[in-house]
Amino acid sequence: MTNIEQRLRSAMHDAIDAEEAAPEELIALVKRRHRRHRAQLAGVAVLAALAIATPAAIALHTGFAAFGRGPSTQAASTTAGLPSKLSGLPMPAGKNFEVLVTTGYGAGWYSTATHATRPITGLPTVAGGYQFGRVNGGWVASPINYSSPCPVNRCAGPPTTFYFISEGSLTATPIGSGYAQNGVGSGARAGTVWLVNYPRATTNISASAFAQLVSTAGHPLGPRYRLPANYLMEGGVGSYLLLNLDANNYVNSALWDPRANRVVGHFDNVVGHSPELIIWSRGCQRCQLEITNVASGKTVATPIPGRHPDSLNATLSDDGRLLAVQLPSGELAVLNTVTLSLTHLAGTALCKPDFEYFGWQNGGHRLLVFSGPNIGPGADQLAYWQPGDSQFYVETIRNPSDMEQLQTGSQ
Amino acid sequence: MAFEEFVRARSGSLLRTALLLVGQNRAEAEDLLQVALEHAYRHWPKVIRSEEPERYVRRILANASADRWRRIVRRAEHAMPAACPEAVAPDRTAEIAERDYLLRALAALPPGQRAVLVLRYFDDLTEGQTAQMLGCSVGTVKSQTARALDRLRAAVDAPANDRRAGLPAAGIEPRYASEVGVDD
Repeated sequence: MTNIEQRLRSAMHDAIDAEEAAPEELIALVKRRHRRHRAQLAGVAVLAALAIATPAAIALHTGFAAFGRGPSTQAASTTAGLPSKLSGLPMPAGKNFEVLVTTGYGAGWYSTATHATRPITGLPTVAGGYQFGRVNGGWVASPINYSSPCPVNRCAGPPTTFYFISEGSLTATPIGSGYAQNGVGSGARAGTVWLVNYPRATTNISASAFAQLVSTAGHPLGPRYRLPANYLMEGGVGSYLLLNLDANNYVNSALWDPRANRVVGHFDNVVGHSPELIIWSRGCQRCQLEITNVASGKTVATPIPGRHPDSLNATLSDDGRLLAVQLPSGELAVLNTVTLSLTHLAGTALCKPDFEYFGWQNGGHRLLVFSGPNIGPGADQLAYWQPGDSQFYVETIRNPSDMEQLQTGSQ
Repeated sequence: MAFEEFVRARSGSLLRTALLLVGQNRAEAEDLLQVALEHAYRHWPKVIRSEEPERYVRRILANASADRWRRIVRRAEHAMPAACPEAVAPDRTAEIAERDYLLRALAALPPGQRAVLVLRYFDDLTEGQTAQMLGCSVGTVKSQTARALDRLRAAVDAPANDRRAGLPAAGIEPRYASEVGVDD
């Protein structure tokens, strides 16, 4: 390094290293900016709808009419005039189910009946806390570790231990160690996960990683496979692995056959996958979400618009039978991926909610929705819907002091 | 990982990069960081699923700083500070004075060159990583780095009297809207 390079580096660090941010204030300001952005988009959408008149809206309504939906707010992507809270039937007295919440440095199960949180044991105390991901049959917890031996986290770093928590279990069990960021993917079979590792901590993540199918108890179930370079693990689909291209836009995924070491298909804008299905969109203006069954090789179009997959929130149940999706109107809907029938969940389209998370629990037998203000006063709402229900059940909950965040599996 | 957890853990480091990218103006740096974080927040499920959020935010910071600077200059909403806006305080040590002068010289560079130097020498990225971050070729990173270092070298080697007089040093130009050097 030359003299000027050394002097510049020293000058920058000397002058800047003591500067600190105010994270809580920053979070509030970012979310305020986000709400303004959404409000601006809504305004633009209304103007655009007025400008282009009715043909597009008619086409959209026609598409949904086949699924029992009449003209409504669907085409106008605005939240103006909508309620600020979820509405539905009150949760039946004594109705008890438990949801995973983060608590301090660990996790626990929050009971809707007792409003108490039962702690989960088996997660060692770590400074950064844990992050949770939904896998087939339960949850995977991994310590949050921001340190990396390479700048901007471009290299693998030391392996981290993953833990499995089955639905409702009070004990987390170690699965094994893997790469901290994309180091675990759901297996196609319940009770299995793919663990990803790199040869060295300093290996760039674009280099080939190793993946191995293991049981959630950590027992190897197959050989270690070397993934193609430039691809990151997403999860198991059928006998294949769904991989994300490590590129700037991150919209391209590949279905890779580990035994034959070849890519068998490419998918753009994947929004979800299950043991057999991949939900994706070509991303064009008039495109709709499509479902590809990797076992049969068939692809069908859904009635759900797929023109802006980036802003489309969607999550599949563990078995892939049900796809919960937030439509452009803000309303939640559930698509039966077998019959392609779409059930709209009335009362879920909110006027600029501070947050609205949703995800499948209990395997796919219960859709959980969590909504509330990010900043300022206001109670949170916990709601659920189960297949066959005609109504949504909603409860206002106080946020226990030890509950940091409710996990829905879709974040 | 929740968005809030990420901000709590990494906002300090990101703010420091933003400060250097905008020439140590704290208000502008905070605004730039908010822009980048809001973008990440908007796409958080996808960001967290497929990419390290820090890399994502840093890439937006680096590119938005250049884009932002173009827009600011075009609108002429902010008065542009001169390359050397004020004399160095006489009671400071020579070392600190040189550091300040070097940072002012850095701030006076075209935004593309400044971003390259910040990513290379503050964030410690390689040339390839910097190119990927800025969406340009490695060759562009190399040439921009060389030009920028030449300018800094010329600036710090300028006679001390020129610095105290607050005159632009040799090789340091005002920030021009047209001089970016980094593809968006």
